[in-house]
Amino acid sequence: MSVKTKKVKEMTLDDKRVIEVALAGNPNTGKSTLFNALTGLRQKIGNWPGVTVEKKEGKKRCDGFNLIITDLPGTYSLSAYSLDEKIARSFIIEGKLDVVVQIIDASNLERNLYLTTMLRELGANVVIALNMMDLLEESSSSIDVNKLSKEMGVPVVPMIASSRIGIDDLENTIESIYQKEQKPIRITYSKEIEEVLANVQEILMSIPSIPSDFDSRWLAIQIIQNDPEILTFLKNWNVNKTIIEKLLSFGREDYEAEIIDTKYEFITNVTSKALKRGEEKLTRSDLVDKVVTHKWLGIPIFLIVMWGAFQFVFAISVPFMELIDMLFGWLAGLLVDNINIGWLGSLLGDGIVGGLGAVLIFVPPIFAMFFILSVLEDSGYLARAAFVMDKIMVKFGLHGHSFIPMLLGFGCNVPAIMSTRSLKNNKDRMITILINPFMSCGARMPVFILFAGLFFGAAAGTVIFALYILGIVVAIFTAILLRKTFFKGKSAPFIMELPPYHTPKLRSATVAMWDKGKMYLKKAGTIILIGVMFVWFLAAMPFGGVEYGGPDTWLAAVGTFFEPIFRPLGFDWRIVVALIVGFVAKELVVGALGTIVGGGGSEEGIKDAILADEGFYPLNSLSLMVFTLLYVPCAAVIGVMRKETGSWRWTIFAVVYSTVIAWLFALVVFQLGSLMNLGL
Amino acid sequence: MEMLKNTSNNMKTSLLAGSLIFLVVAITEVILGAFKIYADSKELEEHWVNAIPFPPGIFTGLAILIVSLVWLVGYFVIKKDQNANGYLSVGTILALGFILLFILILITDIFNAYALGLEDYENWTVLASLRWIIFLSPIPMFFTIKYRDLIFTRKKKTSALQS
Amino acid sequence: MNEISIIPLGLVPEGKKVRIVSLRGGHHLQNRISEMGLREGIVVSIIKNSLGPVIIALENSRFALGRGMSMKILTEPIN
Repeated sequence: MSVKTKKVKEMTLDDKRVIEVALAGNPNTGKSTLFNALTGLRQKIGNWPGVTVEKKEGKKRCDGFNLIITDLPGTYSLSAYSLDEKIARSFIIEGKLDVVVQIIDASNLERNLYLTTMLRELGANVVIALNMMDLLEESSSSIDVNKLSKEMGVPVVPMIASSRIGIDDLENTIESIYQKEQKPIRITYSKEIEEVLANVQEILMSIPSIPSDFDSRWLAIQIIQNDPEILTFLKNWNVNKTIIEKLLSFGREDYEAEIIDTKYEFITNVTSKALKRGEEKLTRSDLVDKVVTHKWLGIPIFLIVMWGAFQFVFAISVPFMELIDMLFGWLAGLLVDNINIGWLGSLLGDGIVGGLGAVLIFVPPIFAMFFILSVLEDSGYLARAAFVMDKIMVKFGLHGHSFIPMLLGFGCNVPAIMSTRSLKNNKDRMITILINPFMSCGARMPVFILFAGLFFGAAAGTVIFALYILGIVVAIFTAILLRKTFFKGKSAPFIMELPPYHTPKLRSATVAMWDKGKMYLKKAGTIILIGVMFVWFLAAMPFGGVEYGGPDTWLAAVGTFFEPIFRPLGFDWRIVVALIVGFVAKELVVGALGTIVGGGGSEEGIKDAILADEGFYPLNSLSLMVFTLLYVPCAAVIGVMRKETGSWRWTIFAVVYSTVIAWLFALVVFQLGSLMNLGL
Repeated sequence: MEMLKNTSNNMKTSLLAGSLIFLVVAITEVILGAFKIYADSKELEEHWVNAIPFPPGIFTGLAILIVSLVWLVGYFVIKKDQNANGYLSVGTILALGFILLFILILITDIFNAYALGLEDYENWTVLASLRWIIFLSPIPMFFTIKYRDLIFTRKKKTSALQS
Repeated sequence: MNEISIIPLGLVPEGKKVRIVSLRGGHHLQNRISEMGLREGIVVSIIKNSLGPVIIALENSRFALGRGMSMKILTEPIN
């Protein structure tokens, strides 16, 4: 279907048969575990065409055949009301798939089979991977696999994906059915609906432009349910306007509910034969949930978990940062000393190596941050955090769902803003997007680490923690403000599945860390590199005679021009320049300061230069950190805000608002600090 | 029934004792931590806080305080004849998590001090970082050994897929 | 079952089991939560119901429902 699929195909190199498989399933069924178990690390991560939802593809060489596996987004249904559902559905329709593997949580059979009925109605060749058989057994229930297979008309492979049990079976089953046509199951709806369906189908049959991939019964079922995507389909097939109108007129609001009910009736009939339910009891997860969602203990527990996570990030990244720092400092010195053409040595040494070093040094903490967030997510705790925070979020007009994007914002605001798509209500979503940049992303950490480390010594960790809290407070304040002014109304009902607790797997956390951290590395290689070179250029101009980064350069001219605005915050032109550059990417702030104050490309060097410099002292470094925390994160965030809000007006509002807020807070910090004469 | 009663009495005592010991450590931490920040800001180099055998810190103190409170609530839950396994587990897992964190910090400290020879580590000794682990470990370790089956799910051999 | 015994999910005490008898709210909302498995006729048990959201068990899954949501789901007790 897409170019990417072809690339993977070429990689499989031998002439064995290639079977294209998609992996579908509800959330929390162990889908990514199965995907990893099948493909190992041979995965390609890209985006679904036209959208920024992550698409994972992998391949697997088996005995005598090759599998190309696409991981579909986890969905409960294929009704195309959410982006994830749309992606999954159109991939199944258009993907020329040989087999769709639906992974099912065996301990939740009935709910999971709902998606199966939709897949089968769509005409996909389905294999059920019946996962978590161990959990099923623990709950003393049992499933008659043969009966289930017979009733649903598809092969069923029992498995425990986390222990890699049943994987071979699954591969062989895929191979054995991939060329067989499965008969679509036919769920018979009420007499009224069947009559309407027959009418619609008749019309559909008379339209020649409908591709043969589309089952007319399936199309008819979607049409009468007012499926939001059908209109697009029909238009794409150049169906006559009057026919479209006629077709759409068959849709009725209550048909969908009836169709859902009938599907469940079908499923209940299946499960009554194939499933023996054990006794329900409180599980370990429930007992733990009672504690972590406890009315008094819930929030304190959440806070210390977060505190522990930050400590982890710092502890693990310091040695790596020191090593990178030594390497780049050495490299920069080597270049400056050994390249005889003065400006080239300076460009390579001071500009590129020095600037890149200043950026790459923050790879360890950013990777560590992604690692720990992924551990928390895998363990199941993150969902509880959303639950715990719901109580508070409700107070300022949002709910627990909005909390996960906020938490993700600590990693990077770009994916965090994208993740707001899971919010159904548009007003909730707008507020959640607009407050997200106040969640301090990983790129702001370099500034905090540098200055808090330099001027606050042992209290550095506490200062940084307080900055994060300040970001949250400003976000909350902004949310209340927006809810009271531009986005009046109630937030959408909150409903969320809580996954059972798992022991987090080192491997999946590592994979997630790498996937997300890679984005940072890419950014370092492109936008940040260009930014660094630009800063170097301004710092070296005009040619001849000026001291690099000195007060006579173009860079200084820019900074001096804006300096008056920032003088009340305690910033001189050099800080102003760094902050302006930070509009492109916050990572550049430290790099730019490095260029200006000098320091030979190593963090140690920058530190020494700053300490020796009278323009930097604890109080203005504090207001600098506050300003960095609150003003626009980066160009990428502005872009994604524009895309997700669909409005330049709100994007510009966010940029202006956050800059003004940043200025005000930094002003208060600096002026109050000066007044109180804390000796900073 | 008698045995069940015994187990729960047993756990009740454990939770209360564990909670109180952690509570003392936590309160000491918070008070001394606050004093240390004050002393540092006044640049008092040699003060009696440094003589305490563990490095005080407000946040570490609060973290221990919360573990202690989780166990304490668990104690009252048992008193009401309800299942307190969750409280025991969560408190213990949190404490174990912190011990792991301090072990990690110890390892990186050793690396920073000896392999990298960082300046900040001039006055540092292994014991400075090890103390924490020594102070925090006994109770959670004891709970872990004693209530292993309540806290951790043991992998049972499944027969689900053998047939 | 008489009408008096029908209560919103949000008022059911912890540890009780109830059958969902009807979902309130718009068609769209009803359909979406039905597709998640929360639908009329099924039995759920209440794991946690104090301050904040309600946690319910449905088969082996757990759902968190906001206060508002939980008041839109009407239930009857079962023995």
